[in-house]
Amino acid sequence: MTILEVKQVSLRIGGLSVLTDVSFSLNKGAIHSLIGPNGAGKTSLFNCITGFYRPTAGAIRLDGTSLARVTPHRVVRLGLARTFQNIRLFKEMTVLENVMAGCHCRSEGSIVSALLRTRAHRREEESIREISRRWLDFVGLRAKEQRRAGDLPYGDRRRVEWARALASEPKLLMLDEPAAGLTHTEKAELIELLRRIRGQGTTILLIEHDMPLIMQVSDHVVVMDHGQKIADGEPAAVRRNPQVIEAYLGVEE
Amino acid sequence: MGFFLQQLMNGLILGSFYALIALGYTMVFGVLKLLNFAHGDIYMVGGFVGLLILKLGSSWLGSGWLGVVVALFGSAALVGALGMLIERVAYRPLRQAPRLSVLITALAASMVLNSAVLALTGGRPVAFPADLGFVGYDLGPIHISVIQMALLVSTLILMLVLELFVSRTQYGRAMRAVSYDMVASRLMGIDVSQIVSLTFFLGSALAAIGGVFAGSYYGSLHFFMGFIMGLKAFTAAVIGGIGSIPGAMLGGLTLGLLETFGSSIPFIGSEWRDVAVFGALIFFLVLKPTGILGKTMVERI
Amino acid sequence: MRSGTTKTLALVAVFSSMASFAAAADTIKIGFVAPITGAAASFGKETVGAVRMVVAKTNAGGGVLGEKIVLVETDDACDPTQGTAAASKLVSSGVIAVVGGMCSGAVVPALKIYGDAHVPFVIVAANSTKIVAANPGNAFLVNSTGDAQTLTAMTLFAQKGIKTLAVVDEGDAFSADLSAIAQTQFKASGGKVVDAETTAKGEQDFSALVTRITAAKADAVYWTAYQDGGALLVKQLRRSGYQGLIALSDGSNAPDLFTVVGSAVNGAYVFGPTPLKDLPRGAAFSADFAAATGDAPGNYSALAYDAAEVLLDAIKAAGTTEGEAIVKALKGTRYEGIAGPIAFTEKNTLVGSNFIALVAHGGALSVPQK
Repeated sequence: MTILEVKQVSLRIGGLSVLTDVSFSLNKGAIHSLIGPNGAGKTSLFNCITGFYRPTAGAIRLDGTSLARVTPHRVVRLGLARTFQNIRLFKEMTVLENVMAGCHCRSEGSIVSALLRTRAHRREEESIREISRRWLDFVGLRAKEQRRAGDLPYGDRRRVEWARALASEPKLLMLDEPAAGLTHTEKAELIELLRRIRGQGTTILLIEHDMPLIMQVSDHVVVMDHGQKIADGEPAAVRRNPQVIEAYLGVEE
Repeated sequence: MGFFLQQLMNGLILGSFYALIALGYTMVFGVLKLLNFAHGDIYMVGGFVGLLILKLGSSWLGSGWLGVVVALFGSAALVGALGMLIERVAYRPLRQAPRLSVLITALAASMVLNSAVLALTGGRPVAFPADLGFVGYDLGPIHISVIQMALLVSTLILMLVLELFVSRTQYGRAMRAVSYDMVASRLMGIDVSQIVSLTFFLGSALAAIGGVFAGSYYGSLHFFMGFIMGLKAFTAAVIGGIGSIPGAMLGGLTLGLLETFGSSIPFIGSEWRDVAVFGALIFFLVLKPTGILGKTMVERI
Repeated sequence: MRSGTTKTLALVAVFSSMASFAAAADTIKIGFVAPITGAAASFGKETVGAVRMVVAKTNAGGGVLGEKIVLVETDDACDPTQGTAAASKLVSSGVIAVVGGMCSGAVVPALKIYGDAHVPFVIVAANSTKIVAANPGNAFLVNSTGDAQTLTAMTLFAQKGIKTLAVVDEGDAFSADLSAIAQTQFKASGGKVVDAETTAKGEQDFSALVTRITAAKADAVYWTAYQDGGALLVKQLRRSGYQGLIALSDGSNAPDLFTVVGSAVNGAYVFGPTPLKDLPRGAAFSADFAAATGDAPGNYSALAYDAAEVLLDAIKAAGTTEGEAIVKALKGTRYEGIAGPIAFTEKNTLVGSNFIALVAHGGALSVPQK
């Protein structure tokens, strides 16, 4: 079963070819990684998928629905959530409020009922709060829910971001360098967390540089270089691909 | 002592007007980082829309409290929609443009409203068709009229409702999220355009309420009344800390008191009252740009 | 001083200036200047109609010096910047003389422009003593000056036994001047000025000032500026429970005062020329004005009519369109106007005073019953 299909996607920005004819598909319920050297076009591809950039050519489908002409906030509603390379929390809000903001797209209440603070609205607020707390439990931050998000240590801020993304109940969760800046122990916790997310049926797409982590956790790897896909497949197979070794792994090891 | 208390009262009343207008200024700034120069004119238009409602419905509304209350709600709804329209037409297409462009369209929007009302009224002051009489009460040494009490209480209630809305509801939370990080909010599934529209609706509705109150309280409206009010509400927002809702309230009241007492210092005449007001603006911008309560830095323009 | 309105009125000025290109060759151009827009727009409306009546009547009778008169109308919006622009425009459009001028703030800076161009200027209502001081010699005032108005005010205060006075102006040339004269004269007559205030144009809230006036226990309050601020002040004074006498200068002598303040203005005094209904030829003029313009005349309609007549008579007497000759003829004016007799002093001001104290009642001003 395919959850995300990227078909012949190209992106040009100001005459510069950023992505050229990229195609791959991701299976439901697996952990996928998108790797490649700096400037390979990974983040640009991410931005195309989240609707932030419009591909110049090609198609992207999430669970069968085309994402062309879908605005970013609707992409989220269709079941796609992401985190940022340089964590972007709402620093002045509490941890719980950050996660509750992530639930925004799943709530049904109207602005009028919010303004009047009707009973229905308060009930929904309560349920949003419960859902958000469940996700804080999931990432192990429940105890810090009233802290100001900007005051947390780095590792915790990452977790808030994950909880916030998970709170939108995504079918596909995209994590932009989740391991960056984490300690050894935190990385082990991350791997365990990724497996738990997969365990509940959510598909994951990682952008990562940490090769040991990728090899350990990924079910499938897509490799990019100079805006093109140069390989995809199981980690072990990708690792043996001569093109990959030349472009990327060879330099690394 | 009586003099002091009465002036305190005067300052609070005046401050309530400033606070009502400053709330909209501060909300729009908080969410869009835009100084909506048309906001003072929205207040003026709000007064005139209330006037129109009273005139059109004079046969069954009368000129008493019923009429004023209907005018308050009616003007808030209509002018709230006008605020959304202005954002949609004049600001949204420029969301990616340099901030200066938006500032210029904001000035243009202000001129459009101002000149339209000038053309419609011929620039003459128009009597507000509400007559709430001069009924008031003497509380010890101070005299307070019913409309003054209504204004004070309404402003306080509106500020509380707004604060609750922003801090306790999903849309308020989304509003704060957008104000901290618009891009991230969008990628978290928040419909930023909807939230911005909502912000403009609320801010403009509050300004309209201020306008209808001004008409009922002062007895007349003129096309230019939004200009000074816009400047002073902006000053109030800066003093309180632009972007902060309790700050707008505090800033408005502070400014009202500053103005009232600033002009009552012996040997310094009332012509100095605006010197006190705008002196405070400079003081805060230079020495404490975050205002009394604000955390957001003021964008220097 | 309506400087705040400048930015929005600029467009209006551009459009109104388009009207001035219409004059044909065998005509004499006369300029008219008054606030057509802005808070004082009612002054423009009530005077332009009267001036047009005079022009129409004269043209029907063969014009002046054998030529038809074309009226070039401009808007000074009661604002110094606009007033300067309007004067420059009139001069460059080739008018031989100008009639109009309601607000001293707008008139004072225009004086030099007309003076340099040797264009005679008959001023209808603006009457600050600053005009007299700045007059290059070609301007004539058919309305009494601030000095005369203040004398009328002092007489009223003496009659009513006022011992303590509060004076409020708006900081413009007209009202600040009037305030200064009033303070000097009131003190000279043995009274005490307990409060002197200046408000900002366009300000709506006078509560702090009202509280100070009340605390200062002023027997009377004298507002020396225009009706829009005056209306707010009267309303707020009465709402606060102020019981004393309220007097307003001729700048506030406009119908807006009643529509805005309502019944609270009853009993307040306004200084100004004698109302038409109390003038011998007033009723006839009212009827003519209504027939010509479709509107009832305002407080300055008759004075504007007289001013235009005085100017055209002077052109006829001079026998030329040359500015200095017209000025000379104006100096010799002996004219029995609808509003009263017009002759000029050495300083080109009105001989005698046309001001009386009127009392507001039931939506109109009338001569107080003795």
